[in-house]
Amino acid sequence: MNNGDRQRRMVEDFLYREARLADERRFTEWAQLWAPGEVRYWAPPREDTDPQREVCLIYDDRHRLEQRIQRWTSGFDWAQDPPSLTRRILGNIEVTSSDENEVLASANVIICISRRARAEIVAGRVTYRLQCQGDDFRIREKRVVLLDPDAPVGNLTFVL
Amino acid sequence: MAVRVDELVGPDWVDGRIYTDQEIFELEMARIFRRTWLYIAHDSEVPVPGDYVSRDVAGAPVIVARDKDGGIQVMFNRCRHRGNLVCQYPRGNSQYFRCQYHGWTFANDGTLIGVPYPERYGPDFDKRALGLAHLPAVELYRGFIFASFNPDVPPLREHLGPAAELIDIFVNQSPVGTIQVRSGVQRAEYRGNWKFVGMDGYHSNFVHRSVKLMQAPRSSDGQDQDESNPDTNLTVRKIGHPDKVGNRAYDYGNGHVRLDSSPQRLAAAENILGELRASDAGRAYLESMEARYGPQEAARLICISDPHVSIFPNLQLIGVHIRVIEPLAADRTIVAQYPTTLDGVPDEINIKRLRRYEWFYTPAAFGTPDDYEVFERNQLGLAAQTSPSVVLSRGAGREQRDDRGVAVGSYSDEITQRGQLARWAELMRAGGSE
Repeated sequence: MNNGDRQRRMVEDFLYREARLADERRFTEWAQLWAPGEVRYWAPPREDTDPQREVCLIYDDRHRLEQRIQRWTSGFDWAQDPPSLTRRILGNIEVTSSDENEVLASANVIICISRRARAEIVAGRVTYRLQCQGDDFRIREKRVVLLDPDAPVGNLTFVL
Repeated sequence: MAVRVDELVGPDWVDGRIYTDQEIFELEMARIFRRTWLYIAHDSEVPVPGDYVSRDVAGAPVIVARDKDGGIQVMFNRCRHRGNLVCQYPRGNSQYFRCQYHGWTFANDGTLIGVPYPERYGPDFDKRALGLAHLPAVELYRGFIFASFNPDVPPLREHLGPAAELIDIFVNQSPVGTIQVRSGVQRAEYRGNWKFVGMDGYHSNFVHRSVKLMQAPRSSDGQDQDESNPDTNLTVRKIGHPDKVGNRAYDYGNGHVRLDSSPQRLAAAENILGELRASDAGRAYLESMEARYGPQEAARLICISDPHVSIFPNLQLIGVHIRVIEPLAADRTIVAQYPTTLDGVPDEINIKRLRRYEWFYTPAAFGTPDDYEVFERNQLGLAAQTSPSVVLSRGAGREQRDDRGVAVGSYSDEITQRGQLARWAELMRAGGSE
């Protein structure tokens, strides 16, 4: 395997792990995938959204991400009581740039959701800025753009 | 079933079927949504000639367009030939709308300006009579475009009554007295009746418990360090009784109701204004507000900040956002949420508004999804019709009247539900025109 293939494999492994921890609601372990210091977890309506001018579904900095995890583990987040059962497929993974410190990767995502025995599908494009850490990564930024910003959406209080 | 309104609504109870019965829903569409004023759009969404938005209004596709003379046109998105949609996009700019079925073309004031091969229609064919149909009543208040399917609807100001002052408070957060509705929309759908959106001062400490715990000041007894035990946290953190801080609930008449937490915020005016003075942007905002409204009124507006009003039947102004209720069926509702920005303020002030909204209100946020979850549970629970009446008697008979004659109660009273449902019953009873 050349270096590019090896790195791509490492990125895929990391993204699949993140997907699995999210689907299994292992929030404490999921939180540990994030880089220390400032992070951004956000879900703008479009790829080119200026968040200073337009509203996002999610626009978390470190503090707000911690609040989100606190809520998921509080026992009082009724929108996740019962929880949204999810399984997601990441595909079309591309490493778009990389250096020794940081990797940019993007993928398509399809999330199958079941809640109160009602099935839903949410799809979108997800872009990661990953901080390199030896043979592993930590998430500096995760951006999720759902398919249609004008479509009505149901409960999106699980990990996107 | 024949719908007998007086068997469905009492002074402090309602029959659960008003939330679950599809026949009642159809009647609501005819007797409420197609009779009274509806909020349609804000004029800042169509700032220049050619701008349009298209949306569903009480089940009908509607276009709001800025015509070449700057006028606001509110028209059905339905070709006058065979009824095809003439506009396919939620927003855009176009001088005309062309039906792609047979090429009929309408100017953006609705005038029919082109019919291909018209000669076969014969000599009586009158293009002037075949423009896009307009909603028969359209009025604006502070940029809020209201329309009605009913040509005989009373004037908008009469409909709004004293509740108009809450629209003023919302818009007067801007030191130039205008707002922009151009920061996007979030459309949340839930499986529940539209009337659940309501206005309820009783729920917040329970439905929004997770948020109250984030916000609540920690007690000084040091017992709240055990983050792993939410019950311990709950007992040691002060959640606060909504009625013990002087907050009020209002019934303005015509179904318009409000939750008023300004007594609590006015009591904290020094902190609120002090926080503004701590940044350059905040200071600039405060100074421009004082220059426009005077120091006392500026402080009052800034401290109130959230009108938290429901304008019956489909508009709410909550925090920084406009909320439009779109009923789909007895058990399905979309709420369209439009965060607003203020004209004439530093960017930082508007950015803070967006970030504040995202914390609580989005379909992925910490507050509103719990409301919609509770509405879905309510819909499911009401399917049990063994004990059909729903209790709305909290604070009943203890309302007071303020100096304008507006009914006021304690924050957690069910005065708001009673006010909305009294108007609901009034419109539902009246079979004829209003």
